[in-house]
Amino acid sequence: MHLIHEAQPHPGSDELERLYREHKNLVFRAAHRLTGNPEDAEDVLQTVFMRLVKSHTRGSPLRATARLDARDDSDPSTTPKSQSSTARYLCRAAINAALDVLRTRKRAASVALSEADGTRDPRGQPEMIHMRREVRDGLRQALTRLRPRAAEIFVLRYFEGYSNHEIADLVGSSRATVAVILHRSRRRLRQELGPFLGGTS
Amino acid sequence: MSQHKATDSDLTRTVEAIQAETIDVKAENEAYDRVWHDLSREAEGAPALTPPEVEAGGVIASCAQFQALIPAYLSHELTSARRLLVEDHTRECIPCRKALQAARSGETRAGAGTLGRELRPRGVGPVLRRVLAASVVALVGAVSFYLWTGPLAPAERDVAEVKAVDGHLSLVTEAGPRALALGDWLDEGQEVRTARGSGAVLQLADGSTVEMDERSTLSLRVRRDETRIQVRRGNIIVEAAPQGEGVLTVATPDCLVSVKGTVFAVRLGTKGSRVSVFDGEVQVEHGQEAKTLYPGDQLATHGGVTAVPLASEIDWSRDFDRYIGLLHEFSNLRQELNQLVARPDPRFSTRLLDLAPASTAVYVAIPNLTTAVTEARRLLDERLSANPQLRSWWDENVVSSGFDAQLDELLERLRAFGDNLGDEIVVTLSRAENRGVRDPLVLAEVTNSMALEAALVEEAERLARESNGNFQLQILVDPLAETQGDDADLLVWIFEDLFVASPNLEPVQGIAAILSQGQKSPFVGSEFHAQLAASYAQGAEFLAGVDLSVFLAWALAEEGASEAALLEESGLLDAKHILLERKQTRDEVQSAAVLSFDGPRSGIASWLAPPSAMGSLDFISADADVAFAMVVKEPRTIVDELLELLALAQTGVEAELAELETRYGLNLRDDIAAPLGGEVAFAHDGPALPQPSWKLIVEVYDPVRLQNTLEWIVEQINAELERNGGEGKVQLTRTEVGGETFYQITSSLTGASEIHYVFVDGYLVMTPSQVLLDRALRFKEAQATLLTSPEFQALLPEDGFLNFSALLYQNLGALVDAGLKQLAQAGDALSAEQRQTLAQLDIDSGPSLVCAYGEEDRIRVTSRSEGGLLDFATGGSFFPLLNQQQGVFGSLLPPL
Repeated sequence: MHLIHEAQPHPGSDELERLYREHKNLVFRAAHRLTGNPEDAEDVLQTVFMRLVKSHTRGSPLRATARLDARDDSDPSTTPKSQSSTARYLCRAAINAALDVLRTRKRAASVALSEADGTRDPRGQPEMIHMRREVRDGLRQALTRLRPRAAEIFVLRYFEGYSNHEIADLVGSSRATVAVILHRSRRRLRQELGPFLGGTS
Repeated sequence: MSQHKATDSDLTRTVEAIQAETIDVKAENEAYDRVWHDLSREAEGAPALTPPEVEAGGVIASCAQFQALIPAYLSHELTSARRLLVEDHTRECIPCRKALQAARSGETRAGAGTLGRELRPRGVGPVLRRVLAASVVALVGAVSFYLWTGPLAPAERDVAEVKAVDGHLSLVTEAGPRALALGDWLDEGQEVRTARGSGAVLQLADGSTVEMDERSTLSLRVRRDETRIQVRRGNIIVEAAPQGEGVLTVATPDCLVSVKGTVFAVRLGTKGSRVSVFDGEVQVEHGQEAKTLYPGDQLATHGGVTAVPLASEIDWSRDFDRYIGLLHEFSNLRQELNQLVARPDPRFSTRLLDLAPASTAVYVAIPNLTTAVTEARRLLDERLSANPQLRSWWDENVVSSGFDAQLDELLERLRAFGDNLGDEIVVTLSRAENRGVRDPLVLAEVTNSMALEAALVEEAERLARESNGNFQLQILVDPLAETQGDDADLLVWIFEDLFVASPNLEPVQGIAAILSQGQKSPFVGSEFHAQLAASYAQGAEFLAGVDLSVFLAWALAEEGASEAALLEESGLLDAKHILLERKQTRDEVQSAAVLSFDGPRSGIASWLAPPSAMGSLDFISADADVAFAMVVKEPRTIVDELLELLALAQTGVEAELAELETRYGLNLRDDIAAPLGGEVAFAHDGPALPQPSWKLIVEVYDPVRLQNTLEWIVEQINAELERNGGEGKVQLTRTEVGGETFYQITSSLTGASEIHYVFVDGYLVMTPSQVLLDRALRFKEAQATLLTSPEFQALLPEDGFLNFSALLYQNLGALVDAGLKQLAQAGDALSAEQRQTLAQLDIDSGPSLVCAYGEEDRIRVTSRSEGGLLDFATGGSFFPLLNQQQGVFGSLLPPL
């Protein structure tokens, strides 16, 4: 029986509020970078924290993250090296949830009108902005065709700025394996990106 | 949008553009508020939103809200993020999952009803389609017949029209290939060929169509009651129009296919032909057999033209009597070993694989050869006792060096362990944290744990004694209770029927933990494990696998290393696993190596083209000692990629090459690579003395251009010699004989040397003498080639491939054996006894064939050769040429 259904009193609401206050930006922005729009990022934010709440009743991540943070005095800023273990956990959760969103997204919904009409960037012509947006979304879609683990590692490295060593620790692998996966992912993504680049570079 | 090749910079810029995307701060803050509002409602157990609120995009916080979304979810009206939320929730919440299933089953039933109403009566569709198809075929046939016999009929000898060309279709003429275009007609007897990556459709006068795959060659012959398609090589699909009183036939060198009206495919490859029938009825004659094939049937053949054996000349008689006697003895011994020594059976499964550590990077499984090796030693001793000549040689060369005693001791110790172990010994190495491998681990099943433990105790004492205490072997009782110390060099643990040994405690503890929990290793389920398990499923004797990513990662461990860029461009960084397998029957050894890649092959790894017919082998006789042939992808692309690699490896190479090209007016890519096709073969095909009978055959698409290039090169060499004041000269001459133009390049630079070549049937054939060149052409004409020889056919691997990407054939043993046999008949110089001994010798350990297949994401190499226990012990079959030398001369070595 889980919390939503039974609506029982929540024992960790203060803890949840602290976690949410400290890490909402990190989760939302990581999700936004991957999904490319605030609506999906908001849903990812809700998904990640909802999962955290649900898991809390089973005694796992919320308490576990508190324990991790107790051991880890680092500042929960956006720099990966200085992130707490909770932040890293939430960052991974956000990336994986956002990748799930991308995998189920229809391509037709990939171009946001607000950017396609050129109003965001006064320096560029609308057509060029649209093309750049298409390339970016092309990369996002290409990520969904990588293996889940490879996609996560790529995003951690290049979107979120983690080092190979940090990623190896996070995903429980060796630095060399991470390097190989990144190399292969870059190669695959370059191939996938080709059709989107006609005339833009 | 034009196609663009993305570079690494493109990818980096795109990632940076994503990172630089701006977020509307107001929208972001509003999102934070909304989500927190719902989270806090969730935490406090707030009442659910009403369904309209949910559908309007409100945040979902209860099961009722999720269930309200189910209809929209099933009708695919939700956003992808909302779909994810629903899926996520229904996976965890049983009531909601049941609600979803209930809604879905209702939807399915409704859908089924709709589908049921839309179903058409059975059988009408296909029948109508067949009638229509038959009508169309009949109409096409009738119109074709009218056009064929009417005023619009082509010239009398025209037999087929080119109806479609995709790529390059050419007519093979004496003057070289001539391109054919859409609407061109093909005369009777003319040979037409598609180039690599090309295809074409020909329409015969009766309306039948012939679709040609890439690299296919055929000609047509029309008689009153028969139209014959003569396939020289490649793959065709024939859609035969109704033939009336006549018949349409397709002939390959080893079968004849007759049809009245049908659709079927004929593939003529290096190994033979395969006929597949899709519609109608087909008669296939193959040798003395005739068979009727129906739709879905398939028939494969093998060529059977008997080759004419040629004797080779070699003289290696020295210290004749003794040498021949020894060879005779070793020849007998080798046969006895092959016939009498029992070999281990293939293993189709093993529990040792499931115990390998999670981070296994190297896995080697070898059969327990203790019984076979002991038996071999016994046979050797019997032979030594029976033959004083052999005994004398053995004492002189082996016993005197002390090797014989060492061998006995080694065998004794081997037996102490091997007799108590199962039929397989596995060695693994694990991935190290940062680079390389660590923790060697030996695993084996135990047949007698008491005896094995006793042997281990004895061995531990002996090792400690012999090393003055520097080597310590420790027998573990409970690995999980132990801590790694510095006092033991090798840790051994025997648990029930399992033997585990390692210099490190950690892998032994890993096995102990797995066994104590009754589980399998986390290695089970990995891709590497799956590949190894698949090899076992087909029967394994020797099996080795390496997870290449571990080793290739070394190049990438230091980010920014130039070697990494070079490796990346070469495509070798994508290599994933390599598996080596070796199986031995009583008569032969089968080996295979598979190099798999993480995705389609690229760079150097992609140069090997997919399996394809090889016309170049038609110029090589059945008596070739060595032959190598391969098909590669577009030569121009290879040159481009090669130059890129050279530029990465060494700065300035591009500039140097450009300077050379300007200086000599020669473009490597356009003048040399562009005229070439994708096939090359090299062979030694004739006597080795007085000069090697080498032969080079290269597929050429533009012989005129290549000849111009060769003439230009000769001119430039002479001009360079003149500039440097050299006395030598290179001369190119041409001779017309029987309609063929033969070329000869003569050099007086370093002694007289000659090269002879001719362009024929789309190939450049090059040899060191005119005689060899004439013979090469005769082999092709008579179809008495390597491909049709029984020795070659017998070595063809049993697999689903008709063609190869590359092959290496050798029959050096025959060279030596034939020489000895000739010596036996040589006459006066030898005594009758010597001649008899020579005639009885059987040191020809047989030819071998290595075949390579370039598949999309892997390269597979297989080989078959005759072998025996000696061969097994040396593992020589992976290198058949070396193995052959081992077979001929290596018999003189001790049997280990």
